[in-house]
Amino acid sequence: MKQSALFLIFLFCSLGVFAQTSNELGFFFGGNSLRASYFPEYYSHPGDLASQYEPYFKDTSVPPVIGMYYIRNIGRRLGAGVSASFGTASGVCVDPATNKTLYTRNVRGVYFTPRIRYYYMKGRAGAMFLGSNLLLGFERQDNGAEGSVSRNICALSILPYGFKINLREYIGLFLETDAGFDFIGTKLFVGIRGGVSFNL
Amino acid sequence: MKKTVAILAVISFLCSCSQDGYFSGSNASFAAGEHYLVLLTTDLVPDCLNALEYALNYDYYGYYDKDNDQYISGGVSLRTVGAEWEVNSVKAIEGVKIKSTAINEWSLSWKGDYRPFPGDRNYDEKDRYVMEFTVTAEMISEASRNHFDWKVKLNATRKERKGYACTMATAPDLVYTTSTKSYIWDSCDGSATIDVTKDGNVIDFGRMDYMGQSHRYFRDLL
Repeated sequence: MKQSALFLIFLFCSLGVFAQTSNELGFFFGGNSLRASYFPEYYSHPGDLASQYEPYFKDTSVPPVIGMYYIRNIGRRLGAGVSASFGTASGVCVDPATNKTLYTRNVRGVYFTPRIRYYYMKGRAGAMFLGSNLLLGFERQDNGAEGSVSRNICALSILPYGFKINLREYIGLFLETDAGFDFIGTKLFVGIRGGVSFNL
Repeated sequence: MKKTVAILAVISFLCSCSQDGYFSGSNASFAAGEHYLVLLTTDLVPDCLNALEYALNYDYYGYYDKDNDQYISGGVSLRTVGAEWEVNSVKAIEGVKIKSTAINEWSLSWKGDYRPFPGDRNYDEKDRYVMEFTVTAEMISEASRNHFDWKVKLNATRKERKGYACTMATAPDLVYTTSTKSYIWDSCDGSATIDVTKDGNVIDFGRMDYMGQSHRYFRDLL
């Protein structure tokens, strides 16, 4: 119920129903500890016998993500918008008895993120902001000879924080970080993204 | 940014911490057998002994003939050989059956989802892990302290998902003692073993030796 309410709030914001004065378009690259290679079934039985003797998965890299966002500013302090991104992750399946790799797992995902921002500092030189994101996504996992599986993602970033520096009137650089909770995978995550933004 | 990373690092660290049991003297790897035996000796046996001691102390006050929410006694003192009580005073093993098998010796039996052991509590009742155990506790000393001293013999089985199961036992029996001021049993001597099976075939064996306030784990992965 809470998830549905939050989703509606973010969707409402992302549709830009509020008055606005200027818009922002950005392209970003970053990483997110939402380890896509860890699918929920491996978290639902923590520490039991099967989790000790069955092969387990571990990530080999921070999953990179690339995407773009569009923010509509609402007055001077608020902004609302959406982002779309594509991410990958890789991990290995390890046999606990021999500690050897059985196969490599690759994951690809697409994500859609309604987001809001609150600018607590904003001027010609740049801005600093807090916000909140709802990450909705779909991932496909390739397990080599073991086959493929899919899952959906629903995660709420509760602590996004970032800043932007305007290099020119129309262009700037930004960096943002967030922390949140993956409802479906039931795990905490942190992320960091940076890129270029255009003031439209 | 640095503050955020630092806060997240602290939270991650705190989340990864776990409290050691009574007899923590080992920092060996998280082998299933060792982990289970530690839970057995630091949680399950003390829960049983607490339930037994609560019932015996209750018995002292002469209310043994009363049935109430915590003790279903049948009107017979728990110190009477053959007496059988159902004890609900320890939540983790609520409903444990205690039977007096000899003078100063009791047998405790229980079946259910013993919470200190790992498992998924969100699953349906039928998918929960069932644990069944019998503990025989012989009172060694009844000195005027917070706890009595006990010699404990244990047999336990646990069934889990994907065909995994384990059998745990004591050999030789565990001896739990406590110092004058301690509110927990602060010393354990003896050994406990675990057999892990998958689909009925033994795949792992472990033995934990307890030496007072430390322990040592031996593993034989088959």
